[in-house]
Parts: sequence; structure tokens; C-alpha cells
Amino acid sequence: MTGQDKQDTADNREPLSGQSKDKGRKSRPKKPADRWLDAVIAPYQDQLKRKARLETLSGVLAIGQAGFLAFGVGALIEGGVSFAGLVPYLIGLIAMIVARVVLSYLAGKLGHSISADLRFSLRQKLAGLLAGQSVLDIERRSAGEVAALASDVIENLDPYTSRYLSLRLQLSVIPIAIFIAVALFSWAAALVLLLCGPLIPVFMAIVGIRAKKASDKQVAALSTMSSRFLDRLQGMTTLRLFGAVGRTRSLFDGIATDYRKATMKVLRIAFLSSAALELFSALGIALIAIYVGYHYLGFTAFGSYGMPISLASGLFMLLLAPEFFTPLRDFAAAYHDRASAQSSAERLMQLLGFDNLQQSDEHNSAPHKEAAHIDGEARPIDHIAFEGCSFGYEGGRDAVLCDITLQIAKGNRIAILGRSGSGKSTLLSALCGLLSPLDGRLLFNGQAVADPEQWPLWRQSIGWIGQRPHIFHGSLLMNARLAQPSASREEVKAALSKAHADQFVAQLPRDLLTKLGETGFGISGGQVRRLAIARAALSSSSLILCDEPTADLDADTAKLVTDSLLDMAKDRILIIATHDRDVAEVCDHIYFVKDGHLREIEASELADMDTLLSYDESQSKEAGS
Amino acid sequence: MKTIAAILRLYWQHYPGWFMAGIGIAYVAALASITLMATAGWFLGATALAGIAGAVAFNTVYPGFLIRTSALTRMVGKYGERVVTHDATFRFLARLRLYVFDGISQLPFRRLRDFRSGELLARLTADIDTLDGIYLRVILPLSTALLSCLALIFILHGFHAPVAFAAGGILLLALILLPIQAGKIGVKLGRQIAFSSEALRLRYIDLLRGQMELVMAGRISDQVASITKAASRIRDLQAELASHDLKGRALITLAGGAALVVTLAIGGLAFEAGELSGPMVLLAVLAVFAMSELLVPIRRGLLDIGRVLYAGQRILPLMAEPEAQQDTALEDLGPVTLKVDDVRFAYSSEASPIINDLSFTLQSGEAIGIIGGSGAGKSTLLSLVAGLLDPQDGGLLLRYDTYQDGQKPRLGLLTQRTELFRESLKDNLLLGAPDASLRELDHAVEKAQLKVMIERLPNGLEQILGDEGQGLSGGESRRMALARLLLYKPDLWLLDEMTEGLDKTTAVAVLATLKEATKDKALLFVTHKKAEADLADKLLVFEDGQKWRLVERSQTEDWARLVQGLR
Repeated sequence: MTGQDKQDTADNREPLSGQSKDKGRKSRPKKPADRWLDAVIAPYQDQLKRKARLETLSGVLAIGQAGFLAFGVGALIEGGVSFAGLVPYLIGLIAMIVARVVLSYLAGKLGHSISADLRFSLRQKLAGLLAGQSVLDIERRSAGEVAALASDVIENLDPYTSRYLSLRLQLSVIPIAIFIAVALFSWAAALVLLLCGPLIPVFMAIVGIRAKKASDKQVAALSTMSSRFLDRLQGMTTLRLFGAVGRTRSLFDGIATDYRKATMKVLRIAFLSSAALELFSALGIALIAIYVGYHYLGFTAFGSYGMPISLASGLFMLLLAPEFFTPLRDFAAAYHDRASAQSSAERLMQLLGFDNLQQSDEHNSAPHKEAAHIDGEARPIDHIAFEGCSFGYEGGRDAVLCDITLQIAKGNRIAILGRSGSGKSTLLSALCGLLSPLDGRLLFNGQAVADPEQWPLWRQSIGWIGQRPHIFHGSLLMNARLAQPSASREEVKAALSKAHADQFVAQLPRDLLTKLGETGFGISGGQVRRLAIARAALSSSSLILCDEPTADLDADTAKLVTDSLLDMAKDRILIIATHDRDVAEVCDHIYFVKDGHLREIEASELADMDTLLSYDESQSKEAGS
Repeated sequence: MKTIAAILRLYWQHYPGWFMAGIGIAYVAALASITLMATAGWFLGATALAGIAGAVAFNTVYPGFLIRTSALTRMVGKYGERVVTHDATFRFLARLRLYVFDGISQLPFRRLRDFRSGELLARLTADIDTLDGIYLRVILPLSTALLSCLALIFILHGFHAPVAFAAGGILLLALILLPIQAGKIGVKLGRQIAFSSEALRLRYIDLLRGQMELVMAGRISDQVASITKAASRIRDLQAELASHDLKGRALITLAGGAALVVTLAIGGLAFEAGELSGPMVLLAVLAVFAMSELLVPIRRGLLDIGRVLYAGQRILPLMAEPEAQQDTALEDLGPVTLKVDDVRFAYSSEASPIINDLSFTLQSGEAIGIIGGSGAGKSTLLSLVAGLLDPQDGGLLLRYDTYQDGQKPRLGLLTQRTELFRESLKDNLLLGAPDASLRELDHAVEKAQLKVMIERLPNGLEQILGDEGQGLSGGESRRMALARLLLYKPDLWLLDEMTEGLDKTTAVAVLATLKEATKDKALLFVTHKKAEADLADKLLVFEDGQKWRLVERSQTEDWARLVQGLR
């Protein structure tokens, strides 16, 4: 763990909840979410420019397309050419259409590849960042939420990057080009476009601002509704046992109806902005048609620089009128893309701050570097010594553990007793190399371990059995050989039987190949612990660290787990953090942690310890009442 | 395709009016668009000719009116279409949610267990929201374009059949073939993408939840590599989808262009032959021009269809018609009897049975304690009685001793795992008895030894709980569940290690509360503690490798030995 990484995790510690979203939205010239988006997009600027140019060119070619079509028709009807005379116009028209198609295709290809690369790189960076952050901080974030960010929320950036971003250039070039083309024939018609066009963004902005505010609120309401719905679905068993299904259902019916009504209120406003667009665009077309028509009839002789408008040029202007509004319409349609990208950015930037974005991909894959060092020989740990060690957490005021001096030799079974929060887990973390001593030295085999680069090597000799071991999505086999991927099935079976896990494994539907985890077969808490013990048994570790092996287990299961642990840990060093007296009793040495100090106690003292070790709940209650 | 049909059928069943109105209004708006351009074109041509001929008395009222009307209709139509279709979609989604709720509420408990993981259900909720796409982005633009195309052919046909059939034919062909092809690709790739996204999500979860294990096993870089692999697979699949999308777009634009060129060419020939007047050529060209604009929105929805279908396939099997749900009555309907008859149970057909030929009877006023080693099937038995699991063989029957109009006796199950909702404490309690007075709530809270805790909370009973009852400790959650049961007054109590994790004083008080509450009720409980076992009239013993047996209090020696073995 480098200092840089720690800095990042500290910076990113804000809660992930969306509550902070609404604050400080107004008046700031550039919101952090926008700046973050800019930073994400920065590496792709050149490609984006190229894409915008291609699209703009395709838009401008619409003038040529309208020209060939209009003047072809004009030549036919007005100029009296034969069908043969029409052919060059047809060829020109086809050429324009094909050119536009090719240009849009290329632009689209570019847009997709930018967007795909961007999402891929964000996901990769996120994985690197998560892998590199301190293990001790991990409980702060909900894994489900982070995983949703990585898979779904990043996906929300797609329309923004592949569509919206290049629209600005089109918006500034295409309408002007069309305006000039129309103005060449009639300033009056151009004036119509000028009046109808710029009004649209103004009107849309007015409506859009209101709609955006309201829609933010709606989005929040939707997520509240979804989460309440989810909450009830999860508790369906309880609802049914209480015979409360019908009641809950009508409750939901009501909530959903209210939500729909509120949403429609918002959407009606939002749709007004596109209605405005439609109005002006239809108005533009109608006015040009009527102006040109009346011009032909001689009612509106003005506006064409003193020359009469030909049928062809009139038609040309009419055909261009919808094209004039197309980029505006695309922009309006993509407005939603931007809003959704912004709200995604707000969530993503809390995890992936600006610093992480600027890191190159190589720098980011710190864990890969670590992996490179691992190739050295595993070093068995035969002897552990703490020499006046103090341990504490960054940001914490005082050391959690002070002046620890302790010698542990091969074959020893050590119990660390203490109330939750007394520093048992801190001691285990220190032995895993997750925490360096603030003071004093930690020695393995008489050799001081201070170099973080050395830790991966030591860890090969350390087996870790956590309080809530994680079951990975995959087969039981894969889970069992996590630390020893090359182990054979026979070895796995042997480890499982050592961990007293062979019986329940035999009961699983597909034996070793049974899928476990969220999408697989559920196994009970005691079974999970025994599987974790088998994991450690399979590894060649000479030091076994175990955190609260019997918490939340009934007495029989607890006994089974303790037995497995003892069997497995023969000839290894076993260190158990616990507040279970039964576990402590079977150990060779018992240490008691209180107020940051460690002292050895005799098994006979355990009876007195019971009151000190009893559950926190009762303790806190005494304090409260 | 079956999935689409099923979704549309649902839509159609419940909101035929909205469904049709949406398409109808969209159609009117589309026709107005075409009319606007076509009339404008005809008007230009006609006025130009009239101007050349010097005929000043040209009637501008009618075409002018048509232009203005269609411009206005187009605007109002587009607005109306959006309002109507979105309203319809929200109604539909709300209905779908209820259907899923109904479906899940009728699932066997065994299947409900699979849904324990909230993430799976979260996917389902998101899936429902995905289904809006099928009407808004697929059916609506496609049917509008098809209908408009038919109208175009019909109208142009009146003026000049070859123009109508040539231009209309090209557009129609594109409108039928391209969606089918895009749909096929979208279904295939969409499913693969959804699959890979799921893999990516799970791998991130493993990285986060299993970080400690990965670090200690030196496998963290492997996990990052597997995430990168999933992400790059998604990138590749999306690239493939994008390239199909772009090709489809190119083709549909080309079809629009081809229709335009063909109209101009055939129109030119017809004009030369005198079959079609100048203004009519203009009308045809501009109508086709306007028509090609309607093709734009079709493309976007189609490749999305895979994602929608994937969501639909997960949702549809879960949906069910609402069952006539009878909420349980809360009055006391007299004593009950539980009969367990030769029950055999195993977790899977291959696994060896956990419970073998178990039979016993339990009546109101009686208490049976279940004791035995880990994995002996104690908690499994409670789940079987509660109906959460189904026995492979044998029967479990719980009923009132006197017939009570089909009412089922109330079950109260209290296990290590409690389910509280993200509502206020009060609402959570009211689940047990919706009509309970504040006094009754207070009483239940006091009996469950929660009074002190609740008085400490800033909002008291109105305090809102977080996710899965967050904000309470494990012991407090269980006592909340106990208070809820006290209000519910079950006829049969099923308790799993009821005082586990409580400190001595609280445990004693809770036990006294339970003793009183279950006095003339049936009680079946799992225990490891002497104090709890004291409640029992009989002990049901599961010992390793032996057949189950039922021990009465009168068998003093046996009883004493068993109780001595407890904590």
C-alpha cells in the first residue's frame, strides 16, 4: 500500500448516497461533475473533433442534396428538359446521399469506439483502484452499489460520449451554412429561419431548466419507490407468514399511481420544450412555403434582391427548412443524454476522483506490480516476535495497541481475548502486513519485517480465516483452492475432510462442482467457516490467523468449527482472536487485550473474564440507562 | 419473439385504449408531417405555374389552410403522442410491478429462498423499468412508419400508381426486412452483453467483498485481470452491436434516398409523358422526402431489443395473476393441532435425508423443545412446519380443532434471521396487527424488552430503519420481531434459539414473556440452553447417527441427562 493510495481512499470517503447531490447545484460556473466528465473525455478530444467534423460535413452535404433535388425538379418542370436532362441531377443526388451515408457511418464508428474505450478504461481504472485500496476500509462501501456503478452507471455515459459531445460543432456550423445557402436566394426566407431558429434554444432553455429540476426530483422519487418495492419483495417470506400480502399489494398500487401522476406532471413540462421545437420547425417550413408561393403569385415581391425566385430555388429553400432544424432537434433529444451523464458522473466521481483519472493505466495497475514480486520462494514462518510494538490507524488519535512484546513459536496455539473493538483484529491485521507498527519491530524468524515489498512473500505462508469469509461466485472447488489454484481434487478433498467439511459437501447437488455464491447454492454460516478452514488447510501456510471463528454459531457448530481449526493447525502456528471462552480454553496460551495492553492469563482466570467478555449490547445498554 | 408477444399481450389486455390511442396520435402527427411537406411542395409548384401563366386569381385559401393546419396538427400531435404514450407506459410498468409482486408472493417458499440475495431482486426491479422500451422505442415508431408508408402508397396511388408502388415498395421492404434482421442480431448480442455485464458485476462484488481473501491468497491481480477480461468482452460485443447498428442505419438511410431518387426518376418520366402535372411531381417528391424522416427513430430502438427481451425473459416467468388473497384474521379462533406424519426431507434428491420418518403431534397448550447437534435438522424441521420447505415424503397438517370457515391458523416463526422493513419501527410492528392501538404497541415493546432502546431513539417508534433493519443490533432486531409476533398472537409459535445472543437479564425477561405468550398456544422450539428447555413438556431429540426420539418429562432420568448436556 503506497502513501498515494491511502491518500486517495481518504479523499474518497464521502458517502455514496445521493443525498449530497442537490446541494450546491446552482450558480457555480462549472459543476464538479462537468469538470469530471471533461477530464474523462480529455484523452479522446482529437477523435471527438474528427467525429464532429465528419458529422458536420455530412450535415452540410444536405445542402448539396437539396440542391440536386430542387434544381433537378426545376429543370424538369420549369426548364422543360427531357428525362435525359434529369439524369445528371439524379446522379448528383445519389452521390450526395451515398456520401452522407458514408460520412455518418464513419462518424458513428468513431463515436462508438471512443465511447467503448472510455467505458473500458473507466472500468479498468475502477478495478485497479478498488484492488489497491486499503482492505481495512472496505466495509465502508456497499459492494452491491459499487458493482452497480461499475457495470450500469458507467454504461450511462455511452449516449453522451457517442452522440451528444459532437453535436456542438454541428449546431454551430450546419444552421449557419444552411442560412447562408438560403440567403443566397432570398433574404426574406433566410430571415424566417433566423427568427424561428434561435428562438428554439431560448424557449427550450426556459422550459428545460424547470423540467430538469423537476425531473431530478422524479428520479429520486423513482429510486425511493424501487427501493421500497425491493424491500418488500425481499421480505416476502415474512409478509406471507403474517398474511399481509394483500395489504402490501394495495399499498403499492397506491404508491405507483401517485408516482405516475407526479411523473406525468413533470414530463408534460419537459415535452413542452420539444413541442416548441416542433412548432418553430413546422412554422419555418409553412412560412417559407407560403412566402415563396405568394412570391410566385406576385403578392410578396420583396426579399429576393429584386430578382424573381425560380421554382427550383423556392423548392431548394423549402427542402432546406427541415434540415435547418435537424441539429437543433438532435440537440434537444440528446439533452437527456447530458443530464443522465451528469448524474452518473456525480456518482462515479465520488469513487474515481480526478487524481485517479489522470493516472496512466500502467501506474494504476499497482497490484500487477505486486504480483510480479511474488515469484520468490515461500518462506515458512517458524517464529514470531513483537518487540515493543504499537499499532494504530491513520487518523485515529491514539494507538489502539501499545507496547506489545510477545514471542510465538512453531506449534503454538494462541488465543487473543478481548471485547469487540479492543484491538484483537488490529493485531491480526498487523500480522497480515496490513498495518505497520507505529513503534517497535515485528520479526518473523528473527528477521524484521518492515519492507512492504516483502509482504506478498510472507503472505504465502499465512492462512487467513476471516469472521465472515467471502464465498466467490463459482464452484466450491474454485472457492476451496483460492490460495492454491494448482491443487488437485484429491488434495482438495483431503483438505475438506480435515476441515470436517466433507460431509456437507457430499450433500451438495453437484459435489465439488456445485456453484456457490449469489447465483448458486446457499450454504450456512458454519459451513462457510469450515470451507474457509479447508481453504487454509489446502495452502502451505505455516501461520494461521483466525478472526472470531465461532461468532453467531450455535454451540454444536461452534464445536465442530473449533475442532476443524485445531486439526488443521497441527504443526502450524495458530492465532485466534475470539471472545468465546470455549475456544480460548483449548489454546496453549491465552492473552487478554484491554485498554490497548496485552497480558497473558491462565485458563483458570477465564471464569472471571466471562463478565468482561459478554456481549457489547448489554454493555452499551448499561452505559445508556 | 414469444417474449415480445407476451409483453404486448399484457399491454393490450390492460390498456387497449391507451395502446391504440398512442399509436393513433403518433400516426396523425406523422401524417401531418407528410401532408405539410407534400402540400407545401404542391403549393410551390402550382403557384409557380400560376405565376408564370400570370393567373392572379389563384385560390390560396385552401392550400394555405392545409399548410397551417398540418403544421399545427404536427406540433399538437407530437406533444399529445408523447404524453399519451408515456402515461400508458407508466401505467403498464406499475401493473407489471404488481404482477411481479403477485407472482413472487405465490412462489413456493423454497424458491423465495433463492431470492434472499437482494441483488437478484434488484436486477428484477431494474428489469421491469427496462421493459418500457418495447412500446416506446420499438412498437410505436415501427407501427407509425409502417402505417404512414401504407397511407403514402394509397394516396400517391390515386395520382400515379408506378411512383406509389416503386417508392412505397422500397420503403416498405426496408421497414419490414431491416427490423427483422436488427431484431435477430439485437436478441443474440443483447443477451450476450447482458450476460457479460452480469459477470462483470459479480466479479466486482467478489473483488470488494473478498478483497481480504484475495490479498492474503496473493490472487488480487488475478481478480483485476478477470474484471478486465469481462470488461473487454463487453467492449468487443458492443463494438459488434455498434457495427450492425451503423450498417442498419446506413441501409435505412439509403432506402430513404433510393425512394427519393426513384420518385424523382419515375416522376420525371411521367411528367415527360404528361401523366403527372408539375405540382404533382413536387407533391410526390416532398411526401417521400418527409416520409424518410420518419425512419430515423426506428433504428435506435431495434438493437436495444435484445436487452429488453433478456429483461422480459427474466420477468415473465415470475408474473402471475393476483390470487384472491385473504388477509389473516386476528381474532382468537380456539385451539389448534399440528400433526407431523412420517416426514422425510433432504435438501436435494441426491443428498442423504436430514429428517427421516418423523412423526409427532403438538396441540395448543403444549410445548416441544428440539435438541440435537449441528446439522441434525432442528432448524430444518421448523422451516418444514412453517411451510418454508416442502417434505419429500409424509405430511404436515396444522388446523383449528373446530372448523373455522377455511381460516388457516396463524404461524409465528422467530429465527436467527429476522426480516424488518425499511419503514418506521411503528410500521414494522403494525405488520403484525394493522389495527393495533398505540397502547398495544407500547405494551408489546415493553414485553419484548425494547422500551429502553426505543426511548433512547430521537424519534421513538417513528424512527425509520435502514436497509434490512439497519440501525438495530442483531439482538434488537430479533426482539423487534418478537414484539411483532406478540401483536400477531400466533396459534403456533416456532422459535429458533430464542435467547441466543442476549445478556442474562434480558434473556430471563424475554423467556418470561414467551412463557406467558405461549401459555395456551402450541410451541415448537429449537434450543441449546437449559433455561429455555425448561419451557418444554417434551423434548424431540436428534442425535448423531440415531433415529429421532421424543422424551417426556415423566422419563425423569433420560430428561435430566438430556438437559444436563445443554448449556
